[in-house]
Amino acid sequence: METVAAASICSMKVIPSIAFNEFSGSAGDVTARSIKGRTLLNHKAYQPRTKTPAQASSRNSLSKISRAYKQLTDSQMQSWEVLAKHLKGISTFGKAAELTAHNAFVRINTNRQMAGEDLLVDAPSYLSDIPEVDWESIWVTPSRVLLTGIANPTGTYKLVAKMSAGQGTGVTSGWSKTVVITPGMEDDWGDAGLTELYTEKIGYMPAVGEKVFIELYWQDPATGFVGETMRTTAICMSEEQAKEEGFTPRVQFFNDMFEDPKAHLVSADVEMPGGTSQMVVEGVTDIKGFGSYFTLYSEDTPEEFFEGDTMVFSRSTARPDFKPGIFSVSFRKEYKSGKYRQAMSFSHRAGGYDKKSEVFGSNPIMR
Amino acid sequence: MTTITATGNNFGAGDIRFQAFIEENYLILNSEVTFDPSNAQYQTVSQLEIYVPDLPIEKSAITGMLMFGTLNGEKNGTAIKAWIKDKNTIAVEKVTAWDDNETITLVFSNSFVPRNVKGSVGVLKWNYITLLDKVGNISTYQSYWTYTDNWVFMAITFSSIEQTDTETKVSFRIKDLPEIEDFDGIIMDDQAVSPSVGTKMFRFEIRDNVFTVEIINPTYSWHASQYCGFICYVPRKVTTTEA
Repeated sequence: METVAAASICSMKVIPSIAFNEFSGSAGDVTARSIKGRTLLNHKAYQPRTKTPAQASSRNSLSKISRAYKQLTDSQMQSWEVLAKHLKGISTFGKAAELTAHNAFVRINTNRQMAGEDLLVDAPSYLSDIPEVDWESIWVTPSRVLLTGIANPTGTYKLVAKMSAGQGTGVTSGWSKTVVITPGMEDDWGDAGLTELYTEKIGYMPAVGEKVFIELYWQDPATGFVGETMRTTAICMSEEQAKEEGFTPRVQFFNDMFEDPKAHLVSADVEMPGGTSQMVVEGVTDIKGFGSYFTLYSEDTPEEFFEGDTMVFSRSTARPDFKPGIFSVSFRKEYKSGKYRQAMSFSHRAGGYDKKSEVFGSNPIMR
Repeated sequence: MTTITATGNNFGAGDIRFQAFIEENYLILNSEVTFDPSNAQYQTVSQLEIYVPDLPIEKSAITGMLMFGTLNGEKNGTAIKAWIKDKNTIAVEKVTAWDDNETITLVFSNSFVPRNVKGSVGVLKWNYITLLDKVGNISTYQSYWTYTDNWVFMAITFSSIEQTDTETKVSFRIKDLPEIEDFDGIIMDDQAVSPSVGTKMFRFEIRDNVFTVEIINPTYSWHASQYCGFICYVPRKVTTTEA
């Protein structure tokens, strides 16, 4: 949760001095002050006494972590003192550090809590600096927020991303408007898909031409240390423009891209990696009814269709059953209920069968 | 085709060699790795690892392969997951359900590919399957086979395979199949083992493009199987000319 540094946030207007010459002081919610011969009127905005559930939770957590420090043993406190002394002057939390042992304890455990980790009572060893986030492209469109080409230095760090809502292109500093979009996510083979999280946290997607302020840093969930914050901006562009500028969407299908009223598919992540003729299948079925197959359809007509099949192994999810099987996985363009839809089918074809099966493998795409 | 010789493994399997096809974005491995599950190394690990010289890809998505245990001459097994963990490690899921068997065999005949690779996606031709020179009663079910210059991929399923008598093995050829190397593979049955752990596995071999299945259910009065099948990559025969 972003902390608000000042109790009030002001919106300022420059007023022609001829009307308010020598005017100063407050009237109601308006405060006037004179700077360089011009009078500025500030409209006071108060931090609300009411808290959102997220704010309340965050403030309670901070208090809890802070109070937990007092429960530490002397030797534990001493370990935090040693760490704080070591960190003094090292930028380990995204800003220059000037730490007490208590501060170090609260900051590290707040970071860990954001990543869903337990409270750390013994100070972690500071082994090395966490590097800056290195990425290839940031694609912001009205339907997509995606970082690509992220190089996770260890494979274990989690990415923290803060972003603003879309701002006017004239806004040069929107850093105070950023909120945490993800408190720590793993990259997906170099990609960080933030569309859903962005919509969830900001409430709406940016419009074409708007500027989004972005802050990124790595967090080591094991220690709570974070790296330097990288700041950048991205101008929202249309999907067409993004493709013209080199954006190539992955050919990838998830179960939530299809209507599945009977819930045949617990999960699915099927991808056709570029430069190959292979289909990578990872899914879990829970087939309803008497058949040993099902076809799901996209709700809408996609811009592009994929057509091709493969066959991969499956295995019952029951234990100690392990019944193996062979499934075909098919993609077709099909006309259904008045429009073309992307169809995806899973069909058990050989071996032992269980409605609840893992389906996995990578084999050639055939058509 | 090349040979990859493992530099070691963590489950007491001895020397391991793979027949391999290495391309920029994928790797195909063929080999059977058999070991005694009572060995101390195997007992202590939670994941099987095979160490190899530098692979062409740094990590791969999950791929599927078969494993089976052998006990009193019968093979029972399941499908397991494998992946390239790093440039020098092939990781294989450890399934302990056959740890009391005499041996466990890992059946590699699968491909490893990374996810999120830029480039165009290729689609290979789905060839229709017609069986020739059938010995026994054989009916194929939905099946896929395709090939490149280097290998043939086959995912063949059968609605039934039945021997004509107790002694004569089922055999067949596939129409229009390119010349392929001799190969030993594994067919999974649909018969659940009682108590239900995995399914029975049968061996098949390809010699001079003729597929022959070992005697099915040799200890029982029936010698048939329904809804069985196999998935494998087989190297094509390469014609070499002497200079």
